[in-house]
Amino acid sequence: MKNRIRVLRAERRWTQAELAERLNVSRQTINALEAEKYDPSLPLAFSIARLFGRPLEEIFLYAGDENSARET
Amino acid sequence: MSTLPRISPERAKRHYQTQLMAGMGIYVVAILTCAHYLKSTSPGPLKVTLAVLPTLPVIWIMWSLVVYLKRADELERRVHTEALSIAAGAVALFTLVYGFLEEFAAFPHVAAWWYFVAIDMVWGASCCVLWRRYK
Repeated sequence: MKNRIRVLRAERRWTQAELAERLNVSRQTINALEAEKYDPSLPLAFSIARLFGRPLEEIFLYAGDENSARET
Repeated sequence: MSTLPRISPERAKRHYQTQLMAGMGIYVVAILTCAHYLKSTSPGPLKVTLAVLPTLPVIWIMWSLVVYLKRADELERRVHTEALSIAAGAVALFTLVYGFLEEFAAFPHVAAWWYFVAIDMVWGASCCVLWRRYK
């Protein structure tokens, strides 16, 4: 799953450690999320969306959505 | 367990590492002390007590691990759960195969506590491999 966490974090000038602290997760988790190597649980995804004040679908993009958009 | 005070994953990790180091220290002292007295103790309840006494700090370490996994963040918990599953599966399979070899092919006997060490080693190695997936 693709996401815009790195961009949204950079807009706020937060470090990975600061974002991790705000979300109560480890810095490794933020790194794995930004590298798109780990998909968060639903509660964490909602916490991220709430923290950035954006709807989930603006932050996370399921690869299947891209494929279906290309087909239409 | 549900009433655990909420602390940050980083702090939970440090807390666990401290308890692990303290537990290992107590374990080493306990095993050396018990091994010393076991030699001169005649068979009976005292010998049995001395033989199992060093497992107490190990039980404490295992409890600390459970608490840590409850407090860890979701990625850490996932890596450890996966690594522990791999370790349990691999060692269970090895135990079965080696048990048959011991029983029917006259392979040398291996003390049961080695399986605990094997689980720890496979768990650690699996953690290293699994973390690389997320870096």
